[in-house]
Amino acid sequence: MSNFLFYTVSGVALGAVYAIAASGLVVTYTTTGIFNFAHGAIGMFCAVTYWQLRVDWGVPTWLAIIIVVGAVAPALGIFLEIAIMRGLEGTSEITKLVIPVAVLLALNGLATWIWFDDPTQVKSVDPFFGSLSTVSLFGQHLLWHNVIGVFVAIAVAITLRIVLYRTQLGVTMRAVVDDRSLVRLNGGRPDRAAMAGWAIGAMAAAIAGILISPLISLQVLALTLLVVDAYAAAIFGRLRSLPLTFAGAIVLGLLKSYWDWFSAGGTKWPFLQNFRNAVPAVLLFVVLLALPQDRLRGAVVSRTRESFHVPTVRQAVAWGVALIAGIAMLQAIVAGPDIITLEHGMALGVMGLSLVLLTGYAGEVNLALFSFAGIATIAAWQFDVGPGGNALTTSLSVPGLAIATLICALVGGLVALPALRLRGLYLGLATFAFAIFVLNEVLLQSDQLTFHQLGLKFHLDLFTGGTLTVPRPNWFGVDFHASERSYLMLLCVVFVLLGIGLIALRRSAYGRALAAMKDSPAACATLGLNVTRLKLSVFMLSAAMAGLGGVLYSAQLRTVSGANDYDVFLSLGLFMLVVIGGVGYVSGAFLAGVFGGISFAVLGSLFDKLAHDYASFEPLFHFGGKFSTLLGSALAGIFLGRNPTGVAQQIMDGFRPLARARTAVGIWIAAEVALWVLSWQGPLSHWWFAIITFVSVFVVPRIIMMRYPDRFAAELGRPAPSDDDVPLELVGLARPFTEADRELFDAALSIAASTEPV
Amino acid sequence: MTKIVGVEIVEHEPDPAPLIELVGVRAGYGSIEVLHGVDLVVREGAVVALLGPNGGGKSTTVKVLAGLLTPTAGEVRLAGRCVNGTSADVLARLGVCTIPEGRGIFPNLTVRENLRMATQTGTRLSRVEETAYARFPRIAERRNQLAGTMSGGEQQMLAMARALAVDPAVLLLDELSMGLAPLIVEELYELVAQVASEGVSILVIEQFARTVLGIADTAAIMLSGRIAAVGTPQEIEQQLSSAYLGGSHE
Ligand SMILES: Nc1ncnc2c1ncn2[C@@H]1O[C@H](COP(=O)(O)OP(=O)(O)OP(=O)(O)O)[C@@H](O)[C@H]1O
Ligand SMILES: [Mg+2]
Repeated sequence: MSNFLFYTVSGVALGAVYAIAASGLVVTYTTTGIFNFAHGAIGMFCAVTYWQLRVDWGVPTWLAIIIVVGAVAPALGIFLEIAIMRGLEGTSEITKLVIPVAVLLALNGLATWIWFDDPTQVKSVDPFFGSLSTVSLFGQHLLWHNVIGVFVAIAVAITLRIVLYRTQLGVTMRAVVDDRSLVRLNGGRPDRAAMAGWAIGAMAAAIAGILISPLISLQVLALTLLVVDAYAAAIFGRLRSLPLTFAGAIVLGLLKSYWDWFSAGGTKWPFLQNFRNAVPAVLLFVVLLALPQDRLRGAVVSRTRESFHVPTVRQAVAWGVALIAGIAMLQAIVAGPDIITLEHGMALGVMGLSLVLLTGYAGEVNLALFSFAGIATIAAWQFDVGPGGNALTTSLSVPGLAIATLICALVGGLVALPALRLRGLYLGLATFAFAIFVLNEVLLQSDQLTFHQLGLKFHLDLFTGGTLTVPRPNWFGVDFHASERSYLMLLCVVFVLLGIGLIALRRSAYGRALAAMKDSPAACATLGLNVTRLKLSVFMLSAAMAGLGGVLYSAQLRTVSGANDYDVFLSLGLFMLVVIGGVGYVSGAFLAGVFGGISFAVLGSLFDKLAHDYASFEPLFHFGGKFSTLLGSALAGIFLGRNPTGVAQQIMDGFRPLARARTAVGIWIAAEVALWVLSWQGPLSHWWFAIITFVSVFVVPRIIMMRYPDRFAAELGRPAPSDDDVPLELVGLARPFTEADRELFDAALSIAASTEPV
Repeated sequence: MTKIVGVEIVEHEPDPAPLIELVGVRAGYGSIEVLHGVDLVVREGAVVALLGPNGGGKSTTVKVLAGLLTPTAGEVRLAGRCVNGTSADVLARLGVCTIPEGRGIFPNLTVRENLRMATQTGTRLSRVEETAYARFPRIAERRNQLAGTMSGGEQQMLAMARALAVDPAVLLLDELSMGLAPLIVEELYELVAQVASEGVSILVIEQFARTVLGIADTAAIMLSGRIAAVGTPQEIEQQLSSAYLGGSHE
């Protein structure tokens, strides 16, 4: 009985914190329609700011709380609303998912930069009034901190109730949900309501972050994930009902606490030792499945104007050959660690291809890419190396890879099957929950598992020891283990083959069915397409591709750590990068690899090199290096993620008209080759070559167009010269006079341009 | 002031100044243009009825006037000043009160909270409530009910109550009658006439042509994004009987 009381009370205390976090999420969502994926990161950021004030600078606790909750958090929320979220109204659901993800990554990067540069330094915060101050209740000794948490949750609930129902601002916030434009017709300001929504959301995240921080040592990812746990409660409240959200939070807290009780703190069943941290994810998954879909708001994906241009297979082959040639040229001029950087980017590109299929072609979402990579890696490792095997002397076999891919397809099917009716945000959350589950139950499973079943005893190794050494293939007589250059080429060829395959698939009847499903699942169903089978198959196919890419990614890293190399945040990041690159394009996945694996890493190392070479500017270059490695891709996401068709299409749109200036393009290519030779022979550093090439892709088309203004009038946004077909004497009759005509006449008649209108 | 295309009618008194004016306004949704150059004037204290077949662009005109839609060409003038691109909430606070098509209420807010939303133009809540409940005792009984659960007529009364309480300079009414019984429609338009007599300029869009023509000073017919005719209610009524406009539900 006393145990029951103890765990119930702790559960309620934990649930109180979740309730605060979740209510903030709900308030933001209802007033703005944006599910704030960055909620956890905001909570983390505020918790660390609190540590900074209270522990590092010795500010009194009450003052630190006032500063963080009353100033830092609302300022952060309002800043995010004005600078970023305001522009998201009316954008596609994918964009509304990607931008908050980018904000999450940016906040995590920023916190890492400011506070966690030195991983050995442990930061921790004491509970309020210290860890010894307890109060007795029902014969239980409770930490004051937890008691305060419960009271704070009650206070938050009452405050929210009063603000939302008794104040003009709150009534406006609720009215915005009903009818945004009617609020404006009433003279209300929906923008202010949105700002208030973000400010309140951030304040709730901050309170939750502060309350939760004494439970663990402060770490960016762990803290972020703890607040992420509250997502389950928010979904329980259907993202709209605060009382239900509070109920869900208490249920969640109790479940977690009772699990601690039943599993004796996780020691009872070794294979479930980390299950505690997966409880919220499991609950999230279950709640998502149990709620009727029509009750989930925003479940209908708005039709967006994005339209992807599908190349022909022949074009794809041509581009593929060009890419292989380009990589061959590039790998001739780079060496050592830079090859590995290129490999890394290429491997990410291969993984990204699975998102082109799933999100770009079929309109579905998967935020668990790296979980599939992890599962596939374990499978391939089991097949080819096995416990006690030596990865260095074995090689990755085709059957091993095939089995890993197959297993991913099956797991993908298992995840997708219950989640088939979910779309957009909710599918994203379901896959995210799956990722957290896999992280805790598979990737962090560092002990060998022993089962006694049916009188048999067998062992299972998942990530025994925490790391795996993954073999590389030895195919076609090439030892990819020994030669990084060959492995780079292998990745490149795999990328090209998969890419061509994808384009062929998109052009097939199956691909057209996918496109139709993306536009309107309901219409598809009425047309007699089996949407269920279609969705399931594309999910399995894409999971298989993620697995295939994942094994190659792991083999590229050679030694992988279950805790770090398949992080849920990596999945979020890659999803974001593919969307930036252009999720409807194979080249979008390639660009994602370039962004994620190469560009910011290269910029970072370039800055480091500069800092080394020019010591007097060291702080500046050091800043630049940190900036690009920690924040680069997240900021790219924030600024570029809004473009629904991605950078790939932008680049292609820049190229397409160039067919009208073949000579100039020829000169450009010749100049590139000349630069390459320079670089090959030594004088030009290969990274400068890469940077010049990369920049020229964006800049040169523009320069060529400006050079021939009359040929590219339309692209340059000038009136087409065809207007001047009208003979001079008929101007004014055949078409109205323009300013240009007047100038022309004035010049021809040598009249000083008059300023008065004629 | 009145003019059927081509025919001028000589006026003796100087016209009151135009309060709202559309000059060559083009507007649309995305790449689709719906209004192809609309000219319309509502003078101070006048009631203008805008009639026309479904899809003619009447509601779009109201959206442009209310500031919900920015014209791509032409000018929207309020009291002589160009207000292109001024946002709807600013216009509302300047005294342009719009009751949009459908029900101009917040269904998930109570009646009281709906009235509270009307206070953003500067009127105190107690005054808004007083005015509203005095005009519509039926609403007073339901002040704590969710607006969405009231009957259609009651909802429209609530919408009207807001319009009356805020003392607007201009009232834009888009199909007050939608889905209402004729008796309630009559009742609502009696109120509109009363408001008009207090000097508020009103643009009213309606399918019940007879009812509005009775209270209008001027009427206009809108056909596929253009004003096809402007005239006195009598003149327009004659034109109505020749062209089908779905106007005379009797
Ligand atoms: N939000 C929108 N997006 C795209 N097109 C729209 C939108 N709203 C209206 N339209 C189109 O604009 C045209 C004019 O619509 P509008 O609502 O102004 O007509 P109306 O004269 O008010 O018709 P009704 O008498 O049926 O209310 C219609 O063809 C309609 O399809
Ligand atoms: Mg209409």
